[in-house]
Amino acid sequence: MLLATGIVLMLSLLSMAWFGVSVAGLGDPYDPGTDEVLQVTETFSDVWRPLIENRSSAFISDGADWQTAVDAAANSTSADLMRHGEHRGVEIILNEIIVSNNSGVFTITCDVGIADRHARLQMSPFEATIDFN
Amino acid sequence: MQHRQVSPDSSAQVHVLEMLTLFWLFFMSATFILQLQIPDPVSSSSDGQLQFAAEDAFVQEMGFVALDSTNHTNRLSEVLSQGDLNVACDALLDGLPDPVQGNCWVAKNEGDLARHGQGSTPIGRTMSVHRLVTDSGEVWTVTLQVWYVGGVE
Repeated sequence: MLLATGIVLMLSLLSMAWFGVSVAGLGDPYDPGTDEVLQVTETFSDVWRPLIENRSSAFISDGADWQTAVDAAANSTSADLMRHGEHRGVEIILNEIIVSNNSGVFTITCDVGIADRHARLQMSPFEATIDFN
Repeated sequence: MQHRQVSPDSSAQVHVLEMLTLFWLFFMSATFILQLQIPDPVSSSSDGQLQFAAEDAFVQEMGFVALDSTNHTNRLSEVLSQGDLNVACDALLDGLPDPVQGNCWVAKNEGDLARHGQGSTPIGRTMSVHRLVTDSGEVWTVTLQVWYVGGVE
């Protein structure tokens, strides 16, 4: 009698557990954005210096002095990259953008924070060097 | 030593059995009567194929050598820098495999994303793959929004 009671009880619990698992086990959909921070960081590292260099050269060709050109290039590049981050749901924050000049060798340093809802990555300081000599 | 005496009246245990059996039958009946429409989870490989389809289209288009390879790194950046956004997007969309359709969105520098090229209205779930394309100091955010033909929820 006790064994029969136990079996029935086990069956009812098994049924409930099975049903519960089927409800809870909907599964998380694949989220391709889980590595967006890493991808954006890699892209940022690749394009930061060439963009500033190209834009600085363009500003200088338009008649700007070196310091003004590099300042403008760094600011516009950071604004464009932050906008790119917005488009793909990643926040790119650039702080403390400092441009220093050493006889035509410009060093641009900044604090970079790249984050989304999955991860946060900080590069401080992030540096790029442009030699106009 | 005293032994526990088993009661000769087993009606109480029978009622317990009845209760449990009825409860089990009731619960099992409820699972059939109260149908919860639970969709099967979308396979992660299904979404992965979408993502790879879009990424392959980018890789293919960015792998073509620019006509003016001195001033441009690849064909896609060359076309974008020439302002032929529809041509660039059509080339990307042509690179998608047959079961996958897509829309192409492009934003230049700080601008907003706008759709270019031949596209269509998405059906079902879509996935977006983004690329940053640079050329001669300009920046483009190119987004391929892809989905399966016929749609998959």
